[in-house]
Amino acid sequence: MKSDRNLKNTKFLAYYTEHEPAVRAYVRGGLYNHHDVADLMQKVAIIAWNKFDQLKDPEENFGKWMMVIARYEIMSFRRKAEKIDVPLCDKVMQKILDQGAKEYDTRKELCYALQACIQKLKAGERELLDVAYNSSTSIKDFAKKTNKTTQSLYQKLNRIRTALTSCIQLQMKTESL
Amino acid sequence: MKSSEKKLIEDYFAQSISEEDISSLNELLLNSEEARSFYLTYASVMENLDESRQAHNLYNFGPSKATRFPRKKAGKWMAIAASIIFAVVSLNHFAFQKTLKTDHGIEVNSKNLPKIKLIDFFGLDASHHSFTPGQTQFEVGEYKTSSGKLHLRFGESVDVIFTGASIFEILSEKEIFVQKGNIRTIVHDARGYEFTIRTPSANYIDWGTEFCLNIRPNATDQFEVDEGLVEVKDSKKVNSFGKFTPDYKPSMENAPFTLFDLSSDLPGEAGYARWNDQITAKTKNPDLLGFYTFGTPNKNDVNLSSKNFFHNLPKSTPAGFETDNPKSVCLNRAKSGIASDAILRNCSRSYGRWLGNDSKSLKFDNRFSAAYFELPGKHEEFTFQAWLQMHQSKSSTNMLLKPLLWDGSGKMCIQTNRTGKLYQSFWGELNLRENRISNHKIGNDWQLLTYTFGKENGRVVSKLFLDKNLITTGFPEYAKDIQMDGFLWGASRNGQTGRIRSNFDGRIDEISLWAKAFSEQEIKQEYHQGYPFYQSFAPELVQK
Repeated sequence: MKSDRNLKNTKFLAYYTEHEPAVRAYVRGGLYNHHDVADLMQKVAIIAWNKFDQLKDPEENFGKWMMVIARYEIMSFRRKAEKIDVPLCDKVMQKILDQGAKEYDTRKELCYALQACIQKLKAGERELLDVAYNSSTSIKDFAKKTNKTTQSLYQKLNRIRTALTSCIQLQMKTESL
Repeated sequence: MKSSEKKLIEDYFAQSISEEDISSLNELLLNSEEARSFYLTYASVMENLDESRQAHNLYNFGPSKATRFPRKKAGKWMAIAASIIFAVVSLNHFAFQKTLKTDHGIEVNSKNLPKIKLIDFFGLDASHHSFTPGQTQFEVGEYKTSSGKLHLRFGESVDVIFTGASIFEILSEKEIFVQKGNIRTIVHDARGYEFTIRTPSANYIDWGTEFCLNIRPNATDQFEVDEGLVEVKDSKKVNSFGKFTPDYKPSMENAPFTLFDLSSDLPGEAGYARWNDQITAKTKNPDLLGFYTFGTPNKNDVNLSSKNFFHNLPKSTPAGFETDNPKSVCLNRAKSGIASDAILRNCSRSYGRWLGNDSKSLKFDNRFSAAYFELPGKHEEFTFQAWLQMHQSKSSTNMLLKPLLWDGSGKMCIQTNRTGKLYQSFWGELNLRENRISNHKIGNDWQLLTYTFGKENGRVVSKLFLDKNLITTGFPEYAKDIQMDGFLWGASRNGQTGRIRSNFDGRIDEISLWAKAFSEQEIKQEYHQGYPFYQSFAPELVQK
């Protein structure tokens, strides 16, 4: 009995670890406030664990199945949320989630494309990205150090993210050709 | 895709999109598959980058490397998966056992993985700036701080506050090993009984409610019971030295500790220190027009009868606000001195948003309660900010901020309707109010109210924020600047009779006026700097 449970744990962990980043990104697209992502992912994981026994062919279906759970939870969140937290209308969100599900297989590989695109950034852009996401230096301190305003650095970060998105799209399109 | 369309998506994810642009974005995403694909990819980029940051924060606490658990090397996805498994364990009670041994012989398995969260902090090293009170979790392992304050909650009901340099190891939700540190421990209810602090020489077992310890390497422990009962045992937990209360001490023969009058930090002090730390720099900021806090005025600061004191009192005080009482004057602490000092009428000083006697707010509890300020000049950019609580609505419109005279362009006011919903109004801008009533109410908890006025893309924008969220955006058509002149907080003047009546029932704690329009990022920063996290996370007590 105990070894059955351990086997379930191991399998679940393996599938979850593989698919979590893509599902999390899908959830991010469904929510306005990024603080809600972690809470919703926790719900998704618990539901997935509880229903894991019912899933047929997890090797093939785990990611898409978890995405269905996520979609249901996103819509449920939207029903309860205040309007300010769900600025996009339901019809638009349905279309986004539909398309996200359709493109799931391609998006799974996105993190590799992201790494490649980060390498294509200019040295200064990579440095700013590193400060924002990986370093203990705050943007404020970095702004002081480089004689720039905090606001201009945040705007630059936005532009970098847009550039990365365009680059990833181009890269994925090229790969699929 | 056009770059302007990409910008809409960029602004949406930066949470800086205007209400008008939201309509354009809805339309774009509804009709363009390409835009939806870009949107989904952008979301993935945001999430992948964010994840790398969170993983970094989790694994880089303190300079100490000597953790006994594979916390730093486990990899982020295994950590996330393990946390999910932990959540599932709690729900399902299945027997997934991971047993680890610490150097102190404590066995920890997944059934008793600790639930320890950060309540507040101050002055730790720079890598901890991204800690989020109430959210950042601590794991089993060794930690080290070189200075500052760290307030942690173990389980639901034990608070441990470290002050200054400390080295400690979290062994479980109920036990820590401390090599060095000044600590206050508070056990709020029976769930936390037997919380133990182990030191190299003794075990201090709390049976509720509060005690302090000062642990120094190669020196005798210093110990004080403030309230309740604490049992002290030797380092092997074999011999007990007895149970101590504030009034009773058993025999101290061979005891490896001394009783000492310790003044370890109280709950809330980390937050107060964090807030206070930035005040001096803030008051020197040339953009700061006015800055008001409400502690009792010191006689050395306010002496209205002496000519030796320079006061920046309002030039034309309205009837009912004349005063010779220093307690009715609240000094403008901004070095620029552009706004006047405030004159208070029928207000009382009350508890502030930080614990302790130094923190005061201004209570408006009378039908004539009001505060009067003067802000000369025209301001093309402007921010008003206040920490406040509102207890009830007094009437159909409740003025929070209102010019004394509502008589020309550039005059704005902030008010709530009877249900407490906030809105902004502008003189001569009739469309602004009707369209801009928010769904957000001011409540009983401390909240940060921010109003900003400035230009975005060449257009005048007037925004209202509650805490760190944008709640209404208005686009004045005629006003080019803010001209408040004399204005009131918490009251309004009847244009016909000239009488000033209060219609605000609540407290304010800190008001600031700025000659610049705060960005959302700056507002978030102010919020995190000034929010009293301890009060928000006050433990829920259970009765036995």
